[in-house]
Amino acid sequence: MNTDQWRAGIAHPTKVILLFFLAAVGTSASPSTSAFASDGLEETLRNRVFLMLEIAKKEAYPNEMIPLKVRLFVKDLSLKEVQQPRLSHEGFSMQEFENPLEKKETVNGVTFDVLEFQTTLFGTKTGKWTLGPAELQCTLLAREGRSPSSDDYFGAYETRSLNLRSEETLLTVKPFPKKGRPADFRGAVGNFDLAVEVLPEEAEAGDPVLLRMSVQGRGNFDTVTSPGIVVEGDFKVYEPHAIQKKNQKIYEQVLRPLKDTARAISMVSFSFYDPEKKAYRTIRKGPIPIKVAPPHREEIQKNASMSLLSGEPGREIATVKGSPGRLKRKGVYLYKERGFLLLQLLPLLLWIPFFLFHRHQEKMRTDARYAGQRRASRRAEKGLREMNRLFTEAGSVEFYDSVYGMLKGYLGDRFQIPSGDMTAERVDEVLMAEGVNEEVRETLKEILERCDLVRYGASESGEAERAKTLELIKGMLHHLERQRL
Amino acid sequence: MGQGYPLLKKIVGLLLLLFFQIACSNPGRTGEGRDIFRQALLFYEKGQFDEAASQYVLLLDQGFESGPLYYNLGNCFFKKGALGRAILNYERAKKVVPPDRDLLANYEYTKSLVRGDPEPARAWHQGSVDRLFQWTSVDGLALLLSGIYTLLLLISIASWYIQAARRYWIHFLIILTVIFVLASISLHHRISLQGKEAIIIADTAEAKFQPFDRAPAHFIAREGMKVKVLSLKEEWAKIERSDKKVGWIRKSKIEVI
Repeated sequence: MNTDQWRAGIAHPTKVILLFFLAAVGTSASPSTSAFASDGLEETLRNRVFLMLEIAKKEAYPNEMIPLKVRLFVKDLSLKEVQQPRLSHEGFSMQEFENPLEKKETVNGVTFDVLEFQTTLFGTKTGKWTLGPAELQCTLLAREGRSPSSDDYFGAYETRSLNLRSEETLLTVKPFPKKGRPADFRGAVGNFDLAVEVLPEEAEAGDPVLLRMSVQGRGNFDTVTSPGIVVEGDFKVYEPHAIQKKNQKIYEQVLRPLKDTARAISMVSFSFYDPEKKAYRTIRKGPIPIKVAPPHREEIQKNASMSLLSGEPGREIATVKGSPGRLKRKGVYLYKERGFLLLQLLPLLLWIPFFLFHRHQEKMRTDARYAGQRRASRRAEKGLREMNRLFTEAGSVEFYDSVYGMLKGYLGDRFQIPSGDMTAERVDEVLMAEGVNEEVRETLKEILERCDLVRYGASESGEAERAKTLELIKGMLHHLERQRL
Repeated sequence: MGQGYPLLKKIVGLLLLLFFQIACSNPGRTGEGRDIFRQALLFYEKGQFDEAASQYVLLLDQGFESGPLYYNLGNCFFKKGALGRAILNYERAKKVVPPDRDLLANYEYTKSLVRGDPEPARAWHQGSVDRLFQWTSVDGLALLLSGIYTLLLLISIASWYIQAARRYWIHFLIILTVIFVLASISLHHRISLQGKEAIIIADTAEAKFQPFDRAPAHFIAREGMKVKVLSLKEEWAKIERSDKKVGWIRKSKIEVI
């Protein structure tokens, strides 16, 4: 058998043993045709599935970590629902099994599939102890109706629960040797190193300093306790605080020098038993000096008290204020005040009209169409006022001159028609293109024709007609001003 | 504004009313508050610092506060030798009013008498921004932001109508925007710390790993040390020192600024 030589030395496997219990589980097969017909089954399984318990050593000291393996050997069988092994381990503290490793291994020329479960344990009491047996439950699969003697005996479809059991093994936990045992030995076993630091290295009396002690190496960290410390001078020593990491345990301990006579941490020591060297070891660090200054505060307070008692001013603070200033409600801040927040709208509200006016000016400057529309509106307003005046004060020619002039200017600005191009046909064409409805266009044509007739003396115009023209113009302008072009 | 904007007129009117209400709301003008303050001054002049402090506390208990009130109370505690409480009240004064020379001098001096806080572990940019605006209070920062915002709007108007302003508009815009952003960060930081900063008022206090008396000590918090309160649990407060060390301390040993 290819026995591994692992971690802590040569392994000590138990003898190969197979104890199994068969029970039909949920099968409808008749006994005569069942793949698990009991005839010859035990013999068939004996060399094809078995469990081994292996420990790395037969003798150990208390708290010494001992690697342990439980290995399941399988040859040409289908197993499922393989459980974690169970192990009787009275007198030992054992960790959980890790996830199993899958391997292939040859035993007596036969290659097996091996499922290997690993863990570590350590003895908690001295004496001779029986470890095991390891037990493992799994389910065996086999095909129905096959001959048990054939190589293809187990195929699929029928299940049997198997309870595999290894042999027991003996393990002796020896007491720690009395010879050479350090006084501060508290059961730590392994091979460790110790690192110590103090933060800060300079302090005032009364200030805390932190002593950080880091134990690292290999071994049982569950049994590593805080290193012992010896201090020189007046220190108040607080309980340490442990931080467990992988292969490292850190103890942080606060010390407070009470007076400036506190000088140093004389020694930090940690003792353990090294099972490989079979000897105790003590690591000592120190002395670690700490510069402790007298308490600053105390001195100043003493001086201050003396100066106050003696009436001497000494170093005085600035005097009190004679006025309470602006008393306000406690906890009230401007950023929480609704009034203040609303007030922030005021500049914005003042800014908006300026912005709109600025935008208007910019558009007047850069947008010819917009500017023309605005000019046309003003021109229409002014022209209507003028026409109203001429309607009562002047004759029909002046009135229609004014109407024509206003319309020409209005249409030119509103629809960007050059004055040289201002004919009735052209105006009608542009207005149609701009989507002005036919009724309005007809009204405009009528007004312009009336203007031509009166201005060039072909016709007279009475007051009623002028009034009608004025109404038509108002209606048309109203329509055009409302129409979004 | 003309006749065409009645709603705008109403809103502006309302805002102006609010402004005057805020500006004129000064309960300190009430005689009672002044009398208590005056009484406290008399006690202080006679060296009766306990009585003076009681008068200031009485005024605070009535729900009022002001920079000079906290400052004077800080002075009383200083004279009594309670440096932690003195620093606490100077800190409170700094929150309420822009610190003047007296306040800064007394604060710095008192801080120098106690052991300083450990080296802060905050981000450099946050420290720089806070230092930039340490001359002003929370309200001062709010007013500064409001002023910059108004100024930005005014400058934008000026840039539309005044040729010279148009030339320098972009420079003003950049400078004011940078100041605005930094002041906003500082104000936000201060607001986020409201009610979360505390001063150690006991002579020394053990900060422990867990919130119970027998828990191992982690560090010693000294009087006057400023800490951040992370959470509360019964009689214990979880605090963070400026070097980011965290521990549990009895609530009675600290007072929130």
